[in-house]
Amino acid sequence: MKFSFFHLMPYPYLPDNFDDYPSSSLTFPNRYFDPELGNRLYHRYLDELEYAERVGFDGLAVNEHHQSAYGLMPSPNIMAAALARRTERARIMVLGNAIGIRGNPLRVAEEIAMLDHLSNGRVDSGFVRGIGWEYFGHSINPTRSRARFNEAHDLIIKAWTADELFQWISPNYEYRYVNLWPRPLQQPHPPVYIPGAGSTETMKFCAEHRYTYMSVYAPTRVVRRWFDGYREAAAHLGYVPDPAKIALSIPIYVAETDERAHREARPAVEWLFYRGLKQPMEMINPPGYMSQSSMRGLLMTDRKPFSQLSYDDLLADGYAVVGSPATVASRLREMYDELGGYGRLIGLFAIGPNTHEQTTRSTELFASEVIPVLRPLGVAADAEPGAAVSPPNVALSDAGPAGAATHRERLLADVDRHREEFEAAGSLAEQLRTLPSDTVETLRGMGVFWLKTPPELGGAPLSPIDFCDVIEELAYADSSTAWTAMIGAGCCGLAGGWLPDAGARRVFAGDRPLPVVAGQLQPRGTGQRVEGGYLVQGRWSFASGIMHASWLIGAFWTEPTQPAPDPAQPADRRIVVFVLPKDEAEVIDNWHAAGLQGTGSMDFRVHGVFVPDEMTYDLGAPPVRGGDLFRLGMPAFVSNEVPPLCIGIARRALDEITKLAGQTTRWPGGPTLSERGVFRKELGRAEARVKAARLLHRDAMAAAWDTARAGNVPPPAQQTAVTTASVFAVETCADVVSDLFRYGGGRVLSLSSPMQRYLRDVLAARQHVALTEEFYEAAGRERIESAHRAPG
Amino acid sequence: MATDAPADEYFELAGGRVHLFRAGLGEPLLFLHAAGGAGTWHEFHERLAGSFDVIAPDHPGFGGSDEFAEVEAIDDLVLHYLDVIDALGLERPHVVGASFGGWIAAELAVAASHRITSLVLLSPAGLRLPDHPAADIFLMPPGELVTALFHNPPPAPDEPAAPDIDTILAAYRDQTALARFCWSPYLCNPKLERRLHRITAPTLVVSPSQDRIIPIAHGRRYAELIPGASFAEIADCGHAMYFERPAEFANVTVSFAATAGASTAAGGSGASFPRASSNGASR
Repeated sequence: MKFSFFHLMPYPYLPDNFDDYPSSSLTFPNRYFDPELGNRLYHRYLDELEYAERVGFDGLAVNEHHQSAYGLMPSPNIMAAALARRTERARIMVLGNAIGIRGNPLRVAEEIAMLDHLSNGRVDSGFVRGIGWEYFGHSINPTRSRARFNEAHDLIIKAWTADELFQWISPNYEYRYVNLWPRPLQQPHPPVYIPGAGSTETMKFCAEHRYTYMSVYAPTRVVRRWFDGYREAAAHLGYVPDPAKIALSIPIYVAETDERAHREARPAVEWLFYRGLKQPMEMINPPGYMSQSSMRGLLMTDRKPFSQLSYDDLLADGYAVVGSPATVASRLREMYDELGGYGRLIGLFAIGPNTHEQTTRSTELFASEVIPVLRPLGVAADAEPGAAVSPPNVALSDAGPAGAATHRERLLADVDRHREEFEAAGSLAEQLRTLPSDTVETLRGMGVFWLKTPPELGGAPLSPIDFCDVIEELAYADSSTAWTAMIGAGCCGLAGGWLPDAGARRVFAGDRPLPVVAGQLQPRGTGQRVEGGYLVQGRWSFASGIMHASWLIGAFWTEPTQPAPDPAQPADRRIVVFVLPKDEAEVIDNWHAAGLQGTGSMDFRVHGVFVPDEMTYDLGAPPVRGGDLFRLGMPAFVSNEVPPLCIGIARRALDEITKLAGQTTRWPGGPTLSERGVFRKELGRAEARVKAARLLHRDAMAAAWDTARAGNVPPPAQQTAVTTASVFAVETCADVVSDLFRYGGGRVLSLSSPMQRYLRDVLAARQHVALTEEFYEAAGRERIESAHRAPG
Repeated sequence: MATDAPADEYFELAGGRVHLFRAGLGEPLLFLHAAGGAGTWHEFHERLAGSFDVIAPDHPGFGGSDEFAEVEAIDDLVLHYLDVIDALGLERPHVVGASFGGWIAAELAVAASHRITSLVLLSPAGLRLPDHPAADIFLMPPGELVTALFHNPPPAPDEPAAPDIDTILAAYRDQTALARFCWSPYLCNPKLERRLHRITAPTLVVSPSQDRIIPIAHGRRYAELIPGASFAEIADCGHAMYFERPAEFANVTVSFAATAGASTAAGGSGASFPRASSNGASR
């Protein structure tokens, strides 16, 4: 657990008639600011921040507010600068720059970069939109708030990370020359914090960028929802957030005894919640500041305004924590459990009219007696050594705090939750000849398309066996959904593992969330070598999911660079795999198939399009990135796709025919199918066959996986084991479904019967080029050859 | 206050769907509503519909109309309404605008006076008069806004019902749409004042005498700068205008538009564009 000391720098000397004013902000006249008193406050407050470092806080925090007695820091960067050379060790946390109301976001990029140097790499950069009243004060249109915030954020990050001049054009900002001097010290840039107040857009934004999400002023039960929202948004992106990315921000006061603490803290707590935070709805939520859905959420909430909460209510609800060191430690420990954990505590220790002595004593008591008690909390259960800063903390097996579900478990729970949606999607997909777009969105939300994408590109890869589990369960629900997921994951995996860095960045960094790729690797075109790349031409089929893909993958033969000297000899040609944007190809809507009709496996044609080298790789080349999973080699890397899908279909067919058998009779009142011995035998045998197929396939995959995890590419014998097990599994499933289908009689012929779709889909899957019987021939040949080689 | 509205109508433009009310026979009259007036059909509109074919669309982002996100500012709104006039096939409509709608109407007349027959501006927004600033309606709590709108506020119901969430959200949406166009510069186009001389359509400006939102000085200034414009003041009335005094506002509007139409037919304005016939055959 990390501990930060946050100072709000309030101006607590309010007139007796303060209640006549609607707010401490915007319209509260500045004649109530006494320059002499204010001057002394600034220096005292900075002393209190410096003191917090001396007594052991990990971070010192300042923030930005304008035209208000609530806080005296219209420029947080000036405060951070005042601290930079007078502190040594603590993080200097600007929480945050209000980039929504800035005319020039580049100024923020420049100042934080400077602060990074002045503090020798200790600055944390928070970004906020700016509070509602500040849109009145700075004449910035609140209907543009979120767009300005997003654009400003993107511009600042790019300015920090670019190492050459660029131009920036976005709806709210235009800069023809962005060339940041200095560049920041911390790489790739200072850590980013986002104080949130419950909007789902902020949670998703934070999770997408893996920033720290920080709560503000809310009861514990509401903060719990926010933290869960952030965690859920992360889960949808396929990762578990590092607990240090979840920050609880809360007013805290500590004194020697509870009685003394309440006596001293009460005026400050009341000042903060009844006066400092007194703002009418019109000031806090100007029109357009909140989206309609966030506004609806706010209106439906059961929260009372602060003015209606007593001091005891505020404490009981978790708005503030007051007491002796033991009380405060215990209360924060309790909140830790109620919030599902967090890894950073940002205490507001200066919130109102406390004296300097009271503030420093509270700070010192907290540091010496509360921090040690809470310090062990909020650490990931199996944090990787040396993994201090992101990249994302994703492992291929369980990761995350003890008690949290594994990635696999969460995915399976998601599949279960969406089972009915997927089943319905199946019949609609048959008509549309591709998966319906809202089901595609559901799969996106589950992160399913990036289960074979390297983590450094934002993917969240599963172990190959876990991947089998997920595909099998998806196929049990619906085969079109499963096929779409499986192919999407596979194609993204190929692009992600094998494209050169520049190409991978184009495909994976350009799109949020991650892209969907469609295509397949049978070479069906040619590529003529030109400077910097190839001119590609050809027509490729079976590009499943092409309707919702943004990139296509295919393979071509290179044209020979010189004529073959001897017509009998093979020309100098290679197979090259390429990736290109879908809109550079022509999609040919020709998917009218006898099975897997709902997978949108259409053709595409490329008419002499230039594909740069960075978007190609030679077929058979080793992967460029991705770790163990990509060390599986070919064809093992793609062998956990069709087999588990067929297993899922077969299991479903088994269950369906079992159900049907109890309802089917030859004549009314006659014995049901389930009573026939012949059927029972067939059913029992079918179950054994499916289980055997499943086990054989998984056994072969597991052996290859063990080898890959040990750092080696599985040798040909293991690859053969995988391919033969795959063919065996798919054939067995096709036979099982076909055999069971017979027992359904006439009923299962109807197009409304799912059994006929299971049969057509599993037969279509068996046609896949990767499941050819030729693998058996190869296995047989190897067996014969190795027998010949054996001694004696 | 509100009467039975005619049926909801919609039509499609390239950028989205527009909701409107339409009733009455006669020359077309395009009514451009005020900030709080979207989706409202009132006794005032009924009275106008007694003499004109009244077309009352909701502005982009208001009421039942789509967002039209590309309509970002007042210049886009002018083009939007030219599209509306084209899409509905309106032949040189009379244009009546109230408050925010009055600002749009004035800008429309500056850009394309030849497309309209007459212009009636009801306490129009749109000018920047630093000595007579418009009130900040975005900062007023709802109760204060009602008081500021009316000279004689309507009697409050004995048991005021708490507004339901959908009503609040609809109001927030309308306010958001207004803020898109009016936040800064506040409720005005600083360049409009020096362009008003370009309006050639016969114009009447009507201001309520006790307008606490847009001071009467704005209406007077419009009337000063628009060539040949008339000015009428409605006594004992606040910015709520036709909500507060529907008969007075309707009468002054109808009589002006009727005579403006007639004078144009008699060739009074010197315009050489053909006019729609007076039996509303343009509908």
